[in-house]
Amino acid sequence: MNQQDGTPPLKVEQALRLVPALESLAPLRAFMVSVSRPDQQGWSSSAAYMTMGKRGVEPSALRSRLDVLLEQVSRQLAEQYEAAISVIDQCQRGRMSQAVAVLLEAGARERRAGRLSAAQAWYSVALSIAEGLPDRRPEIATLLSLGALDRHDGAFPGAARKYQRCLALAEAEGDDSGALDAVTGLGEIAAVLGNTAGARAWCTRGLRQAQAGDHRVMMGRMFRQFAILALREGDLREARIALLRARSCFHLDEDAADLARVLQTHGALHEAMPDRNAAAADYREALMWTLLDQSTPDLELSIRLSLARLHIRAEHFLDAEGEMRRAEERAIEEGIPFWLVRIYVQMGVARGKAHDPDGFVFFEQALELCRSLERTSLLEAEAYRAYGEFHEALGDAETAAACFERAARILEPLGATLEHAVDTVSPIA
Amino acid sequence: MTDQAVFPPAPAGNDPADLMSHPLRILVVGAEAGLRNALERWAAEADAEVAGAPDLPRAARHIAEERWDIVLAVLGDEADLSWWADALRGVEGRPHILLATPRPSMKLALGAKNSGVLDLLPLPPSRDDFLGALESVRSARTDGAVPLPPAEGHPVRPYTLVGHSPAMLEVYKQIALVAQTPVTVLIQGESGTGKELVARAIHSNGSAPGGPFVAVNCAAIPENLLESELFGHEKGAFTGAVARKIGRFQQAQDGTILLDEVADMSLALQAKILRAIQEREIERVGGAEPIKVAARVIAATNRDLRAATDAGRFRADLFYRLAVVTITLPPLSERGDDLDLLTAHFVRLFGVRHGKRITALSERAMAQLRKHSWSGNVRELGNVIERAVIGARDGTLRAEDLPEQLRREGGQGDSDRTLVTLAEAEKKHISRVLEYTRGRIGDAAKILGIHRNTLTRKIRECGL
Repeated sequence: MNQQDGTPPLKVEQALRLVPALESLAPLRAFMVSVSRPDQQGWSSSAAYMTMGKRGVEPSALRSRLDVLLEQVSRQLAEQYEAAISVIDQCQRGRMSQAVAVLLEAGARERRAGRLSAAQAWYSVALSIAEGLPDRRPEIATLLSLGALDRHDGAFPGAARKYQRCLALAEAEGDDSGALDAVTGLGEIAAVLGNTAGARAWCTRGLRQAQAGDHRVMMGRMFRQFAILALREGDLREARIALLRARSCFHLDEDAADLARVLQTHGALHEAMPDRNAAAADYREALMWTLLDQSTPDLELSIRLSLARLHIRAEHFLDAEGEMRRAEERAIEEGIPFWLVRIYVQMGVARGKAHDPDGFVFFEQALELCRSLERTSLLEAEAYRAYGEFHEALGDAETAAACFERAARILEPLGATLEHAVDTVSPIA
Repeated sequence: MTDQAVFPPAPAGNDPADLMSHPLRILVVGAEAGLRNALERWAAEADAEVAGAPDLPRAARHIAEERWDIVLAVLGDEADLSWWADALRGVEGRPHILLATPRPSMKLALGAKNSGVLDLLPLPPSRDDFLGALESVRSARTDGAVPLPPAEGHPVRPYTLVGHSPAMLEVYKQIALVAQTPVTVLIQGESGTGKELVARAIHSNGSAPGGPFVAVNCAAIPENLLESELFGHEKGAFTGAVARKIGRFQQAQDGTILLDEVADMSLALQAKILRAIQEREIERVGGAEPIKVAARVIAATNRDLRAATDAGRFRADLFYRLAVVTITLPPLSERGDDLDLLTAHFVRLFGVRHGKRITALSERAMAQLRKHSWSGNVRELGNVIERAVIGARDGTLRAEDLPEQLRREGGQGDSDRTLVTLAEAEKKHISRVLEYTRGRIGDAAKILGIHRNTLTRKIRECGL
């Protein structure tokens, strides 16, 4: 509420429409979301349907923190300029490998901030330099970065090609770590494309390499991959054994994030058994381990959604709502709208399960966000799929079919199908 | 005491006598061996059992897997209390949280209060503080249980209208007065007072109870979609219009449409609503043909619609169209004994939903429910009771099953009756205002009407 005249603040959805779609204003748009507040709703019936667009934006809050925003923008620009100049400098001195390293670091920064096209641009320059070097390790690193970017966007054939090339180079160079990363990427792609036998073969190869090189952490990760594959095939016994092995590879004080991932997968195993209480204990412990490794908000949010899904299945909607609201708050705090899409889709799913037709507002918000973000085809397809199921459950077959068709159309040029998309955004993937 | 699995299983909790007699179970998190030994010794004096967890992740597992009466957490300087809320969310038999910290700051104290912490103790805690906390938890268990009163209401599918206070009797009379007439009705009332329920009651007692009842929450729907939601759209009318859509007005044909939170509509859309009510026809977004609709319109709001009209935020002509008859719902605080009936109703409703057979309410729980201000009215009461039912351990809903905020209010009520010095009152008031402003000194100074430097000095003097 405006302290001068008592007028309510504009909503984010209204405020965003007032800011021209200029690239230079993109940080301001993101900032408006991060300083918005969900207040003024209290116990009103619309509070349960609160989405990012319905949060309030106070111009005074924007003004009072404008210096923080300008400092961030200025820092980001300075980093980009510094990276570009540094690349020129390194190349002038003939230090091409260092130039590639600088480009990859700049790309990684963009990727962490969700600017995927910018990341791609840095990586592409890196690749053009790395391909001409006698030392192949910079090329290996670049291909891994580009492969991960393609995989994120669902461009699976492109990602697989990059990982294959990376593997060939890494094996030729004796780069164990690069080879392991490539094998992991190939295994994940095979898994999301439904090629379980292929995924197993890649995992086996990766495990063998990890054992040969005594890479404890990589061994643990491979065992977890085996567990995920076993879970998908419904072999709970094998999944349990693989998870026990994975867990034994990680140390509590060094590998908090890996441990949290293993516990999350263990939670999925307990859900499949089904043992709700044990699954809840796994997810809660996993969530608390992410506290020790704050560099992994993705993992934290993924675990929160696992917990929320568990509550939804048990029809504990208040607890599910609490968990999802907390996830929403964290995603806004961390400035990762990509996760807000998943959170709103899950909120919509929860409403659908409660036969609440007004749950459509969450899907609409998720889709609106997809349209404003870069390279979110898979996510958008998943949102349409879930939206279709929502309409189907409410008896609107026509709209449901239209949503499924829309999802399939988005995926077609990516060479993926709806099932692949589901697997890709699944929290245990 | 060990860091891992520690006790035989906790009592199953179906027999109230078992619950009363079983020793308090305390989980101590992050304490050094010396402190844990001391706590164990003191706990033994008070017939309580102590187990330990080295850190929050492993404590979270213990909390999820077993029932605990108290969790005592030793915190570092930069502790984020929200993680404790995460560790406890959805846990059955909600334990009380005690925090011990070497440097209790105002920020931590405010955070602890907002997170529903039972008490914040200095580190190391004294024997008296520790035993005092145990005693307060134990005494909460020993109050008498009163059977739930019968709470038969008027079924308004899928809900039930419960209450027979004089204030609600007036509402029932107004429902009876308008139900059989086709007039447009405006229902006003604070959030959570049951406006949709009253709208449904008008519909189901009206001349076409078999017709559809369609509720639209105007504040929940994105502004750019509200028009298509109300009036429908043709396929391809805009991005995202993947199929032709029948709007809510048309869905309500020969029935009733409720425009909930109607004050939140843009002026442009208000004009279209006015047309729909006046002309009894609508046009789909992207459509060319007007469509006749015959639906009774009921509007609801928690805002002062007349004030919004005066301020130019709501069209006066639409206001007069909607407010042919106005029904104002009373807040829960004005409904007297309806609180008891609604409580009983919700306990039974959620008991069935969550597979719990709860037949009584403890006296202390009832007293705490009565003491709460219920700014969220019946909706808030329903939420509180649902959470309490999920956490209930036996056939009696107890004070310890209620959210910590209500439990704390119960305690505060007692102390509020004690006369305090001016300085103590000032300290308490400053603390409340700072809590309200989430620790923002500038905002707090504005509310208190003093300069921020003065407030900063007072905070220092009060040791907040």
